[in-house]
Amino acid sequence: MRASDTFHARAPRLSARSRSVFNESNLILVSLLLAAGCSRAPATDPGAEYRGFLLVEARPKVDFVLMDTEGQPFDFRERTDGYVTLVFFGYTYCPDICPVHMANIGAVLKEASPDVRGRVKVVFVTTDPERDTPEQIRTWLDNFDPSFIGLRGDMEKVNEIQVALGLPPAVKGEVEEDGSYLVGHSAYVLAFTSDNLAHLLYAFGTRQVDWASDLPKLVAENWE
Amino acid sequence: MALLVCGLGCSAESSNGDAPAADGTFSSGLLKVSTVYVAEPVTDERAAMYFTISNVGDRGDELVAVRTAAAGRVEIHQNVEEDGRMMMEAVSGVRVPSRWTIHFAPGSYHVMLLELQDSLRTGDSIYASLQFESGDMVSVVAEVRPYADLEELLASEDDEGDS
Repeated sequence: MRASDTFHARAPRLSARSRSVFNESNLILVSLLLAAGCSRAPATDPGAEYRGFLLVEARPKVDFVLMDTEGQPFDFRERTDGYVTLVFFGYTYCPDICPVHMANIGAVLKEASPDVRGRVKVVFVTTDPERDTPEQIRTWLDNFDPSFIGLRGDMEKVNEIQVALGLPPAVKGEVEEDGSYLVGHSAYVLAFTSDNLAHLLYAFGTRQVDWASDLPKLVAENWE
Repeated sequence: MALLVCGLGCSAESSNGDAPAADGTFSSGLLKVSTVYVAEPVTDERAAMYFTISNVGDRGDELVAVRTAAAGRVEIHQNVEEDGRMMMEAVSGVRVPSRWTIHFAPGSYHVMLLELQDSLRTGDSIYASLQFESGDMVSVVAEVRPYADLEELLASEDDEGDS
């Protein structure tokens, strides 16, 4: 079972400065995952071909229904069944991490073959339903890729979903004098494959070259 | 708001101390600022700005403010990870030790331009000035580029050649 004893921590980065930041967070992630029963990948392990973090225990999809940007209910399990599904929790006011993740995935999908593109769904769930209206989410996502799915629901429900997916719940920061606030949230993109299990996590700092390398593999993957 | 001494007509040949060098480096004294970019905002409310500061002098300094007429309010932010969550927080300044280089980049330090005065689109440029504790001020021109281009634009030279 290569997926069950593999943890591959290749550290993607944007710059020397961010590399050190990523390495630090990778260390934290390594220790967290080790505590959760992960082990380091042997160098020869075939799973090491992935640029993302291979999870020791693949995480099952969670049943939930949230509203999409058309105001229609979106049944996550049903609508993403069998697709490589990249799930990210963030918010549109986020100027630094969220748009970089979305822009990088969007840029790679734009260049991907129709075979890959047609097998990948990107699901963005807002962690700021207070300010993120369906229209705001749609406009934001359209900047990266009009096919990206945007979902919205109440904070409590979204946090339950995150916890069920093994991600930390989002936390709303202090409200400033002008009413603005920031939201702390996981910076990982969770990747489900056609078996409807998430086998990989993508940390912030995942580069386009990493996505370009992994997406076709995720699409072709059968975990045998 | 004070703007730059150096207008659009600045060239590498200019004798103005704030003029960008041909390689897009802006400097004042022993402080050099390069790879200055603003990510094209997805919504017209706020934008993030990135750059690299090198202190080639023998004394440490600290970036204490960034000013620009393009934004009603400017903050310097860093990302901190807590319990698996990334959270931005405003900082009062960023130390640049002597003979040291600090990279502002997504996931790390960035300048938040709030209350944008105009929409910023790829190809636009804005003027800004970086104020240091020592009193030094570096005037820069920041080009607006899409988020998808940032990783390549901000990749520092010392990254080249390693994999």
